[in-house]
Amino acid sequence: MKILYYSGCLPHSKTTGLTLPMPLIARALGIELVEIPNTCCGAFFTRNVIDMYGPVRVLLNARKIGSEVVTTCALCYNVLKQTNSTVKADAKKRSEISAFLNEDYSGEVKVYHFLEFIRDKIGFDKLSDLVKVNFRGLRIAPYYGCLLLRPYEEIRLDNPENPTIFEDFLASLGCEPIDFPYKIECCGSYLGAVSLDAVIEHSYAIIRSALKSGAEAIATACPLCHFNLDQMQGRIKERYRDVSDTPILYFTQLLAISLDIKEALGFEQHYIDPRPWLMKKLST
Amino acid sequence: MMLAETDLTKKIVEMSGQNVFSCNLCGKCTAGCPISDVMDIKPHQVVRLVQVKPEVLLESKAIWLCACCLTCVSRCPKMIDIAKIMEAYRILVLSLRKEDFVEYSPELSSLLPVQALVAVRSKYSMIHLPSYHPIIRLKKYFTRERLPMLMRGMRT
Ligand code: SF4
Ligand code: SF4
Repeated sequence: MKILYYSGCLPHSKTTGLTLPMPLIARALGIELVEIPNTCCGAFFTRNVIDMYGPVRVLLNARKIGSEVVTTCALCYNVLKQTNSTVKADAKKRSEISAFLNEDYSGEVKVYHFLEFIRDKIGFDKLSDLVKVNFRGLRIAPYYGCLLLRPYEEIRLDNPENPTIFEDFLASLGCEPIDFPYKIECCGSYLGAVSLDAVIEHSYAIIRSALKSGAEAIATACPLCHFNLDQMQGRIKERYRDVSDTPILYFTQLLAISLDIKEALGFEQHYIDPRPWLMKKLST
Repeated sequence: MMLAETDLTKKIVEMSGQNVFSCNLCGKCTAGCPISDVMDIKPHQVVRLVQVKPEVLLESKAIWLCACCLTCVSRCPKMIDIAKIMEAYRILVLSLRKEDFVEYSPELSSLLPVQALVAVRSKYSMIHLPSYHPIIRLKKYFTRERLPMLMRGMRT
């Protein structure tokens, strides 16, 4: 199987764990990764036409090679999908963009999140057959955040109020997915720029909710969620005592471990290094 | 500000494409909004104020604090997209004031990950506004101090 793969700015981010394992995962699953250029997707979808040149450029790059593109990042996924539906629905914006980029794009490249790709093209039951290291009931809370789910009309990945794709993924690796009340709440994303307080409060509420529901760690697919839950944990703990060190892992890191990939997965960049916890859990 | 009140209502409705008059003030948007506890004006009040006192929102903190998480949008029984209303206000205020809401600072760039910084640029600066001339943009963002930094960034 061959997939067009867009890694965006993630290889240059503070934590690279979301994309670092991808070539290794692809090799283990027998997938050929064809990378498209890492031009910026814009990271935040404004309905303002000027900001859509970035994502349209990405989709045009993909169209040169194929008709479907896969990303692991919730931000890229959200922006690219919203771009597709906007150019489809709004003829005026579409013609403005085409005029500027000197190329017409009508929203035809299909965008997949890697979780969605596994669900639709590989199948979670098939994936569980490929798993080499079983997590044996490790209790992990899947945290969706906003970008995989909303706006529903444009994204349509899963039920926006009670999604299950992340749970199914974790279950296929042998984890026990923990359902918790804050799984679709916003963590504050980039609000750190204007109100660090808001970010600390919401990340705290999410971590506490997951821990209370019985989780030992949290899995995410978004670099901003990861930043707020992981890198901000020091500040959260300064304020609240009832949060213990909670490892926050990218879903790709979990997948890589379960496929018995031994190479570095970027754990050293985390604020809370999940390796001691993983070592303890997987060896007993 | 410059626009008469009713004009401002019309302008926001036009920019955002949202029919604020269909709101039945049920408050579901505010109930689900994760940021409403720090907002000075709550989401359902925003919708009402656009109808009756739209100029109040030009000075509000709420339009900058909305995280665009779209929880309100997915729960509103009238399918009103409040995030689009907030964005319309932001664009309006940025183009009236001709000044970025958040300036890049060394502290900000060392604190936040790159995705957040790009989002900040899209949301809090004038750089993406059509009225913002490309030459001013270049002058502002390619300063003598920034150039070596940018070059380094390109090489890695
Ligand atoms: S949820 Fe919709 S209808 Fe209800 S108050 Fe908010 S905007 Fe109005
Ligand atoms: S989009 Fe904005 S107003 Fe709506 S729930 Fe999210 S933060 Fe609140």
